[in-house]
Amino acid sequence: MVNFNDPVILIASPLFFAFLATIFSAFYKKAVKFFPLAAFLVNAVVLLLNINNIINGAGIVISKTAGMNPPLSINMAMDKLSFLIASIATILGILVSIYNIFYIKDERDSKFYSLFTLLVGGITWISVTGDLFNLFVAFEVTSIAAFGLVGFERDKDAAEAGFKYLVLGILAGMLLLIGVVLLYTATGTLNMADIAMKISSFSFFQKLVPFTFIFLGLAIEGALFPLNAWLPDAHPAAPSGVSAILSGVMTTSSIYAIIRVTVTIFNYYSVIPFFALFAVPTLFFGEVSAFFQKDIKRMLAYSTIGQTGLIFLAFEIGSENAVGASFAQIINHSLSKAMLFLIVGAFIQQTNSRDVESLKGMGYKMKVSGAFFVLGALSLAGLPPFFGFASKINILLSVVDNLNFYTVSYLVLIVAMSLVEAAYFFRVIKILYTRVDSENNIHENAGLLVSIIALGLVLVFVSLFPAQTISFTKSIASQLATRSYYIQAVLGGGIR
Amino acid sequence: MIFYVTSLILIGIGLYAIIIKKNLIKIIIGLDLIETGVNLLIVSVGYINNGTAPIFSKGISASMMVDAVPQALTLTSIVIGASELALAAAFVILLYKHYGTLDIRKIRSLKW
Amino acid sequence: MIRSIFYSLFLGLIIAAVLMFLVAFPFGQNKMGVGQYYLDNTVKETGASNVVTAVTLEYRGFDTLGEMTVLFAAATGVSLIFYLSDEEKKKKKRENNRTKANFVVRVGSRIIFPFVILFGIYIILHGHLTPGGGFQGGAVIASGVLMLYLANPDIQIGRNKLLVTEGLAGLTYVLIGLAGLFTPAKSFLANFLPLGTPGFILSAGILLPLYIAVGVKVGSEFSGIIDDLFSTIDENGGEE
Repeated sequence: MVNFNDPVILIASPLFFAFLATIFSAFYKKAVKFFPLAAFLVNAVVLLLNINNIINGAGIVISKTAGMNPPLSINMAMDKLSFLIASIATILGILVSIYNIFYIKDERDSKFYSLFTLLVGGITWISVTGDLFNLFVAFEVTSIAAFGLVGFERDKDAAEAGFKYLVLGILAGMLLLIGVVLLYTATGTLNMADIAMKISSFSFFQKLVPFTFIFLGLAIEGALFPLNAWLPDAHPAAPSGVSAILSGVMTTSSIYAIIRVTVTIFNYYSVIPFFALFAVPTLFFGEVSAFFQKDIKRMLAYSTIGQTGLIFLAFEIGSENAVGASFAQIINHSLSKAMLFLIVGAFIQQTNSRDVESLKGMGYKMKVSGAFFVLGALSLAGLPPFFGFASKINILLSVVDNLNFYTVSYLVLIVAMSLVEAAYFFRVIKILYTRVDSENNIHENAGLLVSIIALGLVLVFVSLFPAQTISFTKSIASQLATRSYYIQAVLGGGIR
Repeated sequence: MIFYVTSLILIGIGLYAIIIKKNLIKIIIGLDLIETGVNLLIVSVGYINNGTAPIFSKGISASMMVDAVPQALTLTSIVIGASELALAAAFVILLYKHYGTLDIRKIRSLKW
Repeated sequence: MIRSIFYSLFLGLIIAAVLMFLVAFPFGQNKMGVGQYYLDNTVKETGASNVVTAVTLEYRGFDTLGEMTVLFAAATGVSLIFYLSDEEKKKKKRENNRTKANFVVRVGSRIIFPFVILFGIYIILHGHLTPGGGFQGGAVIASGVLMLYLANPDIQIGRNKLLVTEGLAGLTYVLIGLAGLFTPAKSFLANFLPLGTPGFILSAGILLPLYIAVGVKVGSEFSGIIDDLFSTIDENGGEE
């Protein structure tokens, strides 16, 4: 019988529906808008079939292609961390697909839906692949779909942002590829677990050169300072549903890849402290720039940079609690940032302006959206009783656990940046709830509300069980630390 | 060794073009140079002295062949590079339609 | 000036570091890991004579699926940017009064076109036996289309036909892959067709249908990109 929980289906299903969408766009365009939804519902079923095995069972699901055992062929390896990223991508994929059905009004929509399916499918692909060259291919699929979607509006902003993103994205891909090729030269294999096994005999320098290339490539994709010039342009230029995916989970997937490469493949704990050189300025630059933005989508995009810095900083501290808290922050950031982008999209659809000031009084005119905006903003800024509080407090606690000269400054930085974040979100909330008398026909779009409310409920659900969620993310961190388990699971105790 | 050096120099020239040049087309050429350099690097990594192409025919055995994997990787990376450049060209045409120039300094917010 | 010298030095440093890394793995030395296994077992396991094809489509067939997806995404992106509705296209065509090419060029290109396509098909079908395959053959087919477009400004491929072709080719690849899940090997892209005699055209199991799908897809994808890029040309022969 077929294994319907095979992780390869997570990738095959979006590709299948993207290709099918092209055929249907030729003669029956109306059906195409439901294809992304169908693709991610299939993925959700596959993930549900795996959930027991991941949480209670072996904790890792391996799938091979071409009937060959790894390292001979490309394999998929879904461990807890991959499962987390794939689940977030799938949840956001389903909800944003519903949102897009009501948001995208354009005769080119069938192409849009193909690319959107590939974007979210590519993120899932990044998270489950067990082969380094395949990771490069997955990054290319994701980023090329993203380039096209950023250019979707075809106006001046979209053209500029798209080109900027494209040049840096291609550069990132090439740096990643150089790193992968250097690793192939040294080890003669491309399988992550196989490389991880063979790399233990390498000297520091031999690890450093390929690692630097791979890290720089992924750092561009993950928008770490100073390589993040593209993000504040690209994320706002895309349609709001796409911004939600780009900000919510695409930068996160690059952070995932950095973590996977550093810990699982290179076992390179000696460079992790240096990640602070990237994480601290990313956090500082992102949050401070966000504070000065007049454009609401740009503000959210800078806030994404800040959040990425925070996630990366928490990972950099390195203790199991800290890494677990950083994954919790990934959950919080993805859900709330995506929801904020969706709500802002609903506002923009009514006001046709991205200026913060144009949102005056929207909290009264669009009551539900306004309320959920407050929910998302509070959770993102890390205020109780929402999940963001739990994840941020865990990051702070883990800093306190490893207190030394450097980490004291982290403590100050994280608290200060949380205050900055709270400040600009409260400014927006204040604008939302400023009464204005002008009576124009602004009304809620019920279709858009479906996914906003659903995403808000997911966030509330997570907020209701903070302890359980944190303990799950800690179990992810402890699984990540035992890389021999990953290697053995993939290589099956050594073939050949 | 000359192949390694050449491919790295190509990559270097490409990176230099992306950083220094202000013309959109020249930036794309820089990207293409990087891709060519990387492809050359991949193929030269797989070469084995006195090896033949990895295709079986009369009088050719597996021990005489060069590594096939880098060649397959090159095939993949060439196609990926070609499609990226097509998209890049499309964006340049779009920018030119909006601004009537290819000079990156005259395009409003494109700062590097 | 100072800036460019600084960057040159920086790039030189990177190149030097990579060269220092590569010194340990000299050019021309046998560095094969899994590569050796592929060379030794390709004929036995896949029935293909061309090891590169076997690696591309069988051992690393999943990469090829990704690469086709990349091409598909890029072509979709290009047509997203240059999309014109049918009315706009017609209007443009009416305004477009480009000088016609010489009679010899016009007729000659039409005569050569079928042979270019034939050559492309030949390359695709022999991908598992000779150097060649879906990508190369597909590119040759697209170059034939490019020649037609250059010689005949008023020619227009039916975009819907191209869309259906590329979609079907992509679906074929995914479905052949998924079919592998139902075979005893229970894995994506497992080679479930008979391997045949190495060296004959009907050999190597699923490799031939996969490469045909790749060839059709590459050909139609690149033709679509060519069509999109040509649709931006205005009456002066240049860009707007």
